[in-house]
Amino acid sequence: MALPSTPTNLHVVKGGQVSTTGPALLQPSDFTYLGYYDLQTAATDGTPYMQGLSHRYVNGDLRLLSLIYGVLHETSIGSKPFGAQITSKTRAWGSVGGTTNGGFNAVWWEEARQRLWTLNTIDYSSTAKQIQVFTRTLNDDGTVSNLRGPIGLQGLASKRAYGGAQAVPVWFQQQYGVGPYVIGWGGYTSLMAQSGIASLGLTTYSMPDPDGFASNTEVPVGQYKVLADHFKASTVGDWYGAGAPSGYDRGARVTIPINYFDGGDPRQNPTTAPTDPPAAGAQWLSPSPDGRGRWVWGDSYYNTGCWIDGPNKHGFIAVAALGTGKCWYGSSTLHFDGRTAELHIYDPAHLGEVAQGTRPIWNVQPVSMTELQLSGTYVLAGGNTTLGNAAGATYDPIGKRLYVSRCGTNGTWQRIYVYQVAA
Amino acid sequence: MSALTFPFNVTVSCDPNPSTEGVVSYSFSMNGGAPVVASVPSAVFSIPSAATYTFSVFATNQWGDGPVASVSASITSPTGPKNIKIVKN
Repeated sequence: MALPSTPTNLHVVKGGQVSTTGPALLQPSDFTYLGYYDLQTAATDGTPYMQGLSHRYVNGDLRLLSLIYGVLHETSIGSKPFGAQITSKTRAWGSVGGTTNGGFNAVWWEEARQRLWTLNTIDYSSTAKQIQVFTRTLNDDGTVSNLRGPIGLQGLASKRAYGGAQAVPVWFQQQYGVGPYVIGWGGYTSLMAQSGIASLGLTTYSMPDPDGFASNTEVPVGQYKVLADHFKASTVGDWYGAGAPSGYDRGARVTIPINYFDGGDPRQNPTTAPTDPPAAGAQWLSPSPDGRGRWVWGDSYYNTGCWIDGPNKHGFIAVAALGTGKCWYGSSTLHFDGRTAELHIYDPAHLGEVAQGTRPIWNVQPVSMTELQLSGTYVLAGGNTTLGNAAGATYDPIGKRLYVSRCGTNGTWQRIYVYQVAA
Repeated sequence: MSALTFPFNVTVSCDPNPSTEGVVSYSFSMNGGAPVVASVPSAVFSIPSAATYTFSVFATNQWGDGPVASVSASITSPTGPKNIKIVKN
């Protein structure tokens, strides 16, 4: 084997359609950045820990929903211009229930059923905890009702599905025989290889309506389907010596980190950054033999998965929050030279192939990826936190806009980056 | 070709490399910008205004990145892409 040859017949044609059958798969160029809003949302101690982003319409008015631990903030964008600083909340729910203060919380507003979903996981837990799907009704007086959950998926731990929920397009349900919802997304947690095993790469599980299950129960095996999961790569070394993955893989990324987490730094819990290159024998270095980067500790999709199913373009997208430069362990926590965000576009057909058993669960990777240039400074926090990360995204199919949230921008603002999507 | 208004999309494509090369991805870029990494030999770029644009692509297999191929396109309104030429390394 050798390097590939030079591509031939490179040409340019007008138009963006890359497929002549059905909606084409979204490409990064289908996302046009429009501007941003800055929201003043903070936890009770003043820290800007946004942990989830969704949206809903109230009398035709678009409202962003930011979950900050158990508190849900609703903010109207109204006709405010891009660049506006929005300091007043439209409404807040002091406690929506079904959230945790010791980990990560995801939120999704289901417009069709007018109910709020949350999922959560404890970041540092030595015991596996079932997946935490909760639903409830939001009342206008700031209370919630019909709180249901937790509902899990038998055999799967919460640390593999703390990213959120989405509705599955009907055509996909019919074509691949899966349920009406997906949950998951994937990302690092503390004790990554223990207590249920986190997935350093996309997770996606289809499931039936949770209304059919009592609280504190789990959907049995056979009534849900795994559409993507990279958990095995959290427990073993890389596949690089074999030349190509055959049984497991971590998620791919386009930026190239310097990974010291997987045996790259021979020092034990140092207090300073490494200065030498990763040690011989280090695992999961980037780029991998396929030329792409691979996820490192601290990388996550958080609450950013969105199933976009437009008349012209479609795809399952997620925004990855990723470490950049040197990524190392020291002083008993994670450290990074920087953080960045990438837009990852997945082909739903790959998820369907996993459902049908023709593609392994670990072999679902982005079909295209691009780094997002997010304006403003950000808080560079050590450890595993949403602070300073693009940790929430929600897609509005009415306006065909994608909203990406990064808390801790220019200090304490939750900056909402808005993209027009040619879907 | 119909009149164009900016921005609009163009599709940049190349022929697939021989299957014996085991290509796993193609990395496209416009004017040296952020690459679009795709598993198919095609990518779409948004053209913001009339100018000459250079598109590049290289293939990657398990051994690494192959040589870069480039094409320059002078894109003007209203008649669309012109003067396309292929430049190999």
